[in-house]
Amino acid sequence: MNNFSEDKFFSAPQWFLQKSESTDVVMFAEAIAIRNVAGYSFCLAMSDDEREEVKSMLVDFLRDGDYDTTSAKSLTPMERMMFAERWTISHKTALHPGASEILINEDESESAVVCNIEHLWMRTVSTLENLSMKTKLLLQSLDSMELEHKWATHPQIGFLSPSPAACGAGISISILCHLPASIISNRFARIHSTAESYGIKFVDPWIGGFDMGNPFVKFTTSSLVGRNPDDLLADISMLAEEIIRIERLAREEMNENSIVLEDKVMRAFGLVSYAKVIEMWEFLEILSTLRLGAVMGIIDVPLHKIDEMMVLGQQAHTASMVDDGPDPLKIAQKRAEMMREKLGINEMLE
Amino acid sequence: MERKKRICDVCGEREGVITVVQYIGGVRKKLFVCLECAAKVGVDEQLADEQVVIESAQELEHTCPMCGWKLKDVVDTGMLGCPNCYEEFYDEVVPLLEHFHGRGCLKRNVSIALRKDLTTLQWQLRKAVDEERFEDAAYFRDLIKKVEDEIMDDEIKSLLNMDDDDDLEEFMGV
Repeated sequence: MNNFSEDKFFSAPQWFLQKSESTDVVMFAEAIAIRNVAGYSFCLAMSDDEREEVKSMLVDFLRDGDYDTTSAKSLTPMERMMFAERWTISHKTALHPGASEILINEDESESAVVCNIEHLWMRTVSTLENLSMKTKLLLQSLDSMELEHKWATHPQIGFLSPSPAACGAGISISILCHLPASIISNRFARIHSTAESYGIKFVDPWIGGFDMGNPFVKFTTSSLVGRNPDDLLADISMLAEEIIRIERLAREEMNENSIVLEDKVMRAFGLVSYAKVIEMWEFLEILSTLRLGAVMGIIDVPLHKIDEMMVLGQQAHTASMVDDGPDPLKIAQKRAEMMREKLGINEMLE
Repeated sequence: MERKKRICDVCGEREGVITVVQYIGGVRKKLFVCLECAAKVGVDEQLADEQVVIESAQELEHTCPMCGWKLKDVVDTGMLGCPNCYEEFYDEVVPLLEHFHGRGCLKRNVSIALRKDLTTLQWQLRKAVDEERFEDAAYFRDLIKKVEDEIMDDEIKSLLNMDDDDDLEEFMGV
């Protein structure tokens, strides 16, 4: 049964709009745990009967929490992509849902996917400050499930997954960072080498690859075998502290030559004010500049409004607002309209 | 600088341009082969300069008795079929685990902890210098040196497969 209201796609998830001391640089932190039930094949190799058995035992347990449940099949491909754009499910699950079940809590800060690639994929998101607490709650919930279902482990490897890349600690921790000043001032190499020393890789916030020019970067713990969740949390926290220090220093330096920064921000604002179409490739760059302008007090726009645009301007979200089919030009046109509306530009121009 | 030419390990005549890693009975063997010899075992010309892993046909049919997953499935999908596959295809899985999680990840309990200490100390040193706490900085500098020495010992031991300090001391002539 699909319990999701389509209205939720007209705004960004509430958790994403919450702000803390570090959100000017670290937009959010995320912990993703994976578990597979011992004594059963992994999803790729399991029979239909096995899948139903595992699915029902895990979904029954999770339903006792505050989750809305739906079968991935009951969601349209567009809805699945929108959930991926909101970081509720992975991009892979959105593309290849198979016979999985998706569980999402009301504010979308917690979600679970049962029987997709892993038997259980569980995610929690929060601000950087609350990451440790939320991760511990997630792990406690998995520990309480283990009283009924023993998880598949290996003495040397740790928690097992069908993918050797996901084995080990059974959890990966990520932070989404906004690093415009570090990239402009060529400090990203320093961030890169620090991340590498912690076994942390950086990826595109949605798909996983990496575009060097994208100022929104997701850092994810990737070296998981021989590690435990506390190690990973400590690594991410220290990396985050270093990233915040470097980015804020770079922003201060940019501010010393404020006319250049102001010019850059106002050009982006002017572009949004008058552009008839905004394509996806330029969207994140404009958004990043506006966000930097808002953080530095150059434009008077609340940060949560800009962050909301980051979700609503994604391809599937914008396409869902276009009435007559997913025409690329109309999507780009709708994106430009949405940005003007959110920034209150239409009223200003009137 | 011009790349040094290497002769094909199969025909011994032409230039070897493809690296083929073959697993036979769990033993890893690395060969440099020319395009003609590579074509005979079904490796495409477009893969030149890539490292290609080929298992013998017999190895590829090796099946996990618990889930029926074959080594061929592991090669095709990069995924395993069940927890038992990790035991069944252990020799083939270890290089994959090391690729994703770092070399020696299965026995890095000591060195990972030390490396983490080192990164933390380097960070503390930088902070102490930034804040002009020079006594603290000297303390962290000395600790860094000590940890770096321990890491080096640890790496030498793992490279030589030595299990205790006596072996290492003997090797170092101490």
